[in-house]
Amino acid sequence: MSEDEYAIIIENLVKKYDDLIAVNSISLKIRKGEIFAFLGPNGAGKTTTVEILEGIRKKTSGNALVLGHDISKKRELEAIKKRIGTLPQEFSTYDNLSVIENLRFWSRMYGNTIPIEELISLVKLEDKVKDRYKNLSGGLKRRLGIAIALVNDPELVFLDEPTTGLDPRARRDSWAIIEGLKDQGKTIFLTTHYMEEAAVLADTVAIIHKGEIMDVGSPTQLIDKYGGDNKIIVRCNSQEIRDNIHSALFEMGPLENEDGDIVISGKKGKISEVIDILEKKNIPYTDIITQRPTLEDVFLSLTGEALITEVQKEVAS
Amino acid sequence: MSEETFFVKVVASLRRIWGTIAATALDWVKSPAAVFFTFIYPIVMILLFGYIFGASSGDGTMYNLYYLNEDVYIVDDTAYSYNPASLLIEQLQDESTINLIETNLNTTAIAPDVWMKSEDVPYMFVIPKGWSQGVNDSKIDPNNPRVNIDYYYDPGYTSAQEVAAIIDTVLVEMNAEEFGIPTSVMIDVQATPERQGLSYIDFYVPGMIMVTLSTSGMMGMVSIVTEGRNSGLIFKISSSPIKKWEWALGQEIWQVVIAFAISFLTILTGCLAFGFNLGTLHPLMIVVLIFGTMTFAGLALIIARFVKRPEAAMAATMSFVFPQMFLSGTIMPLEIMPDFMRVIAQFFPLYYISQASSALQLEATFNDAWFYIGVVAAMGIVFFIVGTILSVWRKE
Repeated sequence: MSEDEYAIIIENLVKKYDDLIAVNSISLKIRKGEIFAFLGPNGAGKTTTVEILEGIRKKTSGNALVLGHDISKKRELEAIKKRIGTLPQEFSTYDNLSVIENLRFWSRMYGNTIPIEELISLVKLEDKVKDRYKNLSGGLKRRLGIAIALVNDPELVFLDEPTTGLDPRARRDSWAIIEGLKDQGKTIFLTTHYMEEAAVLADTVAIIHKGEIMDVGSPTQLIDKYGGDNKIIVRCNSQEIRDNIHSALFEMGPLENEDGDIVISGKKGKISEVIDILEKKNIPYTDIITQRPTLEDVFLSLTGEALITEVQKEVAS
Repeated sequence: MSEETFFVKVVASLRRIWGTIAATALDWVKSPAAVFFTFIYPIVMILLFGYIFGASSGDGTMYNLYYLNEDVYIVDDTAYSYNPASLLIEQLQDESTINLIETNLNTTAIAPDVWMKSEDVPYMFVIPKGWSQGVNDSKIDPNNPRVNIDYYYDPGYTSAQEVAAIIDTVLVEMNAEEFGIPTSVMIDVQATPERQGLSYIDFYVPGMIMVTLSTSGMMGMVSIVTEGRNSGLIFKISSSPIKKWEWALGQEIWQVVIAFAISFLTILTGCLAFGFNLGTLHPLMIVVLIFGTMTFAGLALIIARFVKRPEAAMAATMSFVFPQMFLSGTIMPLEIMPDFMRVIAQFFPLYYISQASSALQLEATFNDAWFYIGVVAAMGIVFFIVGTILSVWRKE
């Protein structure tokens, strides 16, 4: 693959703050037109990396090419800024300006811009064009932020934690917009600590932990590599039945109790065997499901630590 | 990618600067509290200090001012044909608010301040020996040592400052009208000059405009920078193609626009409340106003660079703004302050801006105005450049 096919090439990028190494010699190649997700917990070094690539934070060492421009050269940084769109983690714009006035301001910062009406339509803010930024909900503010990031019709869009703090519905709305950007051929560099977000949106995921990249690949590749076996979960509604299930399935392997459910870690296809055993012994279970491993399991396997899974919690609630 | 031509770059810069001005202005206009306090502040200032220091002369107040003339000066044909000490006394006698009372106090026997305390005298001045000769020597050669009259006052009397201001304006009038020499030659004070045909308020209004701009301008700019940085707006802006100097220039131009609005309001209030004579304003005041505002905005950028939190930045600004305001010579005459305070005053930009404003209104010292305008212009440009360079756009 030639270098022209990559939107971003990072080589041994390092960012230090005194004794703290925020980004520890990371190297990455991000293909044009893909959604790339930087997955890791808060403080992993995601935002620092993005801000270095955007040109608003200085690197300590290493280098990166963004759309073919060297980030260590000031003149090239100016060129980068014209060709990228950014949605910072702490996004803000003029409080008292309306949606349309804010978009007008950001349009003036660039030369060739997308018509404002088109942007408003893209992020579905048609009903809010005259509302002031400070009066918008968190989700709408983020949608305006995405519209602002697209004002110059960028080839590469950095979205830093684009759905943090949003309710599940607003989050899914944002996901739909981001998927739409990919359809337009834009490269998306997404940072997130939500594994579902990375799993749903990303073509490629890089797991970052304590400033280091643990591995890179598609969600499927990473899950196959690190996620472990499927889990079979058997649900029941009394302790007596639970004990019976334990006795019946004892020989199938290690059984675990999770929130009253019985969890069997095993290989694909085992669910039919479990059903057979339970039905032969006439044990009245409530439900039986197979759960595939997730990026959460990948992260756990790679780092020994759990990711914050707020989406899971919110969906469950 | 083809290189942009110079013309294209200039057009892009202008577009971004205009965008910054338009957005900042609109954000401000749509904030009723910001608009209200920006405009109420100069009105309060001009009314408050105008009534305290400027308007009392018309209400029949009469101050008993004691003086001691220790100077002996014989007029002859080889020197100047007038006696500055006598002239000063005559001028003060003509002041409608001053009741001049001579005392024959023997200062070798009792110090003036001790005598004042025993006689319950709130203020007096002493013309020392050789004062007239010193004044005339100064005219011959400005490098000769400066000479003072000594003003004693009890700080417990609020009128002491007003009386000091009256003496000062008479002295400055004498400088300008009779001797044609700059203020600084005759006495070591810098105060609002006054000449015949002009009232105190005519000098006070331009001075107050500058004082108001120094406070509202600096605080406004510090607020924009620190809050913008705190909210993340500035970092978002920094990821766009706008350059730091373009953004800073846009902000400074907006501050100049606000400065003109504040000036208009101050002048209007001065006219309505105190009969300010609009014709006394020199057109070059506009230049002082522009560069003065740029100076304060640049200073605000520097303060905001080193103090990150908005509330701390405001406190830091206030700690700069207040001394500057009171050391400008507009609110309080500098001559009543200790020598070291007068030296400190010269480290504040407002001192030079006030001097430029005053000099512009006095024909006899008009040449001084060019010097002070030059100083103010240089300050405006230097502070803009330094403030822009020091502004934090990248995260640290």
